[in-house]
Amino acid sequence: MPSKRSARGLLFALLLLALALLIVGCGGSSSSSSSESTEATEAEPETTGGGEEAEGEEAEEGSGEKREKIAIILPEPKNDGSFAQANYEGAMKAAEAAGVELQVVEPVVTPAEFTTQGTALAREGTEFMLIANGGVESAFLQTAKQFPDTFFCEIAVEVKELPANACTYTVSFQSGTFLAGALAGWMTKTGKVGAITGFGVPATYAQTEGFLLGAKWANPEVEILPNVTTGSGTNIQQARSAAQALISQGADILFSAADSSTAGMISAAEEKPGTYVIPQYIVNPSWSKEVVLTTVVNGLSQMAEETTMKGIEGTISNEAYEFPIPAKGGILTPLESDVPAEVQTKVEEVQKELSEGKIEVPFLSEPNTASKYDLSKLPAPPK
Amino acid sequence: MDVVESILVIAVLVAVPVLWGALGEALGETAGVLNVGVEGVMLFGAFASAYVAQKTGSPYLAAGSAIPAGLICGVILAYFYVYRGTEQIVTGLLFNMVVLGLTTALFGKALSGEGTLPSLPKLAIPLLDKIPLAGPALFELTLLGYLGIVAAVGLFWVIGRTWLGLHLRALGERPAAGEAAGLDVLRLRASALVGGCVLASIGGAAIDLTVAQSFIPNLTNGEGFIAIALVLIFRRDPLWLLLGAFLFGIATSLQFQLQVISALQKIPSEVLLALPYLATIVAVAFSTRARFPAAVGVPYRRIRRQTTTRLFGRWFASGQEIPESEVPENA
Repeated sequence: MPSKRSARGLLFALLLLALALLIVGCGGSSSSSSSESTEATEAEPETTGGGEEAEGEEAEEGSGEKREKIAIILPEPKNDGSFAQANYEGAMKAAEAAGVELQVVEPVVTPAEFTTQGTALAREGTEFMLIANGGVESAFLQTAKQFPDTFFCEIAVEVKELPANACTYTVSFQSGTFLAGALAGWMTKTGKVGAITGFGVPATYAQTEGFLLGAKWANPEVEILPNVTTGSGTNIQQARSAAQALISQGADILFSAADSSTAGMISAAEEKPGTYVIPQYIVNPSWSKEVVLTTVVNGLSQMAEETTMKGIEGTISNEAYEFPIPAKGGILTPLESDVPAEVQTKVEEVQKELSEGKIEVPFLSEPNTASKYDLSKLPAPPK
Repeated sequence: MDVVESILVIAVLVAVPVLWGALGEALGETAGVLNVGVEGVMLFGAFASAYVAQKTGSPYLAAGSAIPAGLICGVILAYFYVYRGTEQIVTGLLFNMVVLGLTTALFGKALSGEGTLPSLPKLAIPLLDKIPLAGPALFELTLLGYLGIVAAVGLFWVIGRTWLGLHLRALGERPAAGEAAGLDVLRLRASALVGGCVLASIGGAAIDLTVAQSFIPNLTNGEGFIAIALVLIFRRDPLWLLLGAFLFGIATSLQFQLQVISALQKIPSEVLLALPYLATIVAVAFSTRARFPAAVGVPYRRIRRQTTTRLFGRWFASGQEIPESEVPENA
């Protein structure tokens, strides 16, 4: 029979557990609403025939009814200064413009976490859910099938059979990073560039390899150092150590597909004057402008905004939305003044060619494949 | 920067926070408290210092703020581990969860988007910092780097060469014997735990003030658990912990330097990334003589009624007399 003392100990342990769960829960979900109106953006996404891909499922044209209960699911905190924040800001902008409440659930990393949170939201009557996490594909599809009254849309995944109440949205991330690579190829002084991948998955490798390919394409003299993977998008120490390794090998321009842990790369670059970092997704004011050469924003916020707006307006359908590369601006932001005008012009030319489809950047999903890629498959770079 | 020099610089950079965490854990374990919550303590210290750094702009004030942060954590944990006698592993894990949730929630309210944090400047020791390869790594540290070495030596002296150290070690092995000799077991254990939490909290501050220059949720990323492993492998010896933390830093640094070597490109990055953790597991496997003190992790119950009302006892000590039949084995 347990003593009174051990029973009290158990009670305290249970209280502590309850407190832990309460705090973790409070940190994980919030909602925001606003009735402020903002201008809607104009770029229209191309669809890659989600109806065609959705074998066995009829493509829906969208109900046209306004949805009031919407939510966004993020893999990291909404203020991570990177991928999650870019998506959050876009979705929030749409919610503000439409005057609806946006429920934010973060961080949701694993498929199991998505199933739990997605199910809870759907049960609560959420009508539209934007899933800014490309790593929960199977859970996303399963949950979508379970809750036909909720519309789900996930970023950057390829799905063969989209349910009637689901869509995907993406942009050619590797095209944006290719452009950044070309810039790096023209700007490097040491003749060496490197890239750091956070989570080593095909989507992130395609970004880093796209960058390395762009550098090699723009300047064949450039030595592209091996792709370094840290295994985390949040471990700043790892990112810093990885950046230091590349810098010690002579790299003076580093590209980051390491989300918020890019802060570690910035710290390493600050210690070696003349070293630049090219982050992604959002212009982060926390990061020193001295070392950020440019940011590959890739129109991510805009993409989230437009998709959310379609969801709110009820015009969204079960398609794979692929957003176009703009002919000018919207990818590398800003191009710092220390980028010579001649290089800026060349960057604009390349962006135009990417936009027009004259340059098709391959999706290199394996690390260290850019160095082996046959550059003759691509058109010649501008002189 | 030369590759070898770079490996050493990064190794020391990574080693400093782990060293502080390990010293804190060693102090608690010596007195018989297994503080699995060291990860949470480091995270709380990191958050507190980031907050103060952001508000004051002074990295030194920020580093100092880790001390009260550690005290707060220490008092909370002492209440549960020492005075309530809760299961230490479960309590420690729950404490880590609470701190993770709390700092994640507070991060959104108090820290994000506020710019890069000021970092502690490097203090070079003239001439020594010019020594090839090792100079920049060993003689161009931040204040917390030098203090970490001083703390390791100081703790070695306190634990190994003083009466206080002898008392603490006695509590880790046979607390009842300590009590029979007139020691206030609970108070001493609580004091060692609180002291250990202060050291670990400084380790957390070292992460955002020397390595990261920013705070993000879960900044510590398991460093507290590495600290616990090091303490087990190196048997709580602060000087060996100094070496252990450095070796962990070397392994961490190597995992990226090896990825940059073209000839090793065929090795999957996952294998190289696991290097420091594999090294730690191998070290634990070979440390067959490594063991915790006999009474570590076992809550101590007083045999006789104590009238102590000093420090924590005033608030927390139940002062209940335990029947002989319930006296734990370690007594």
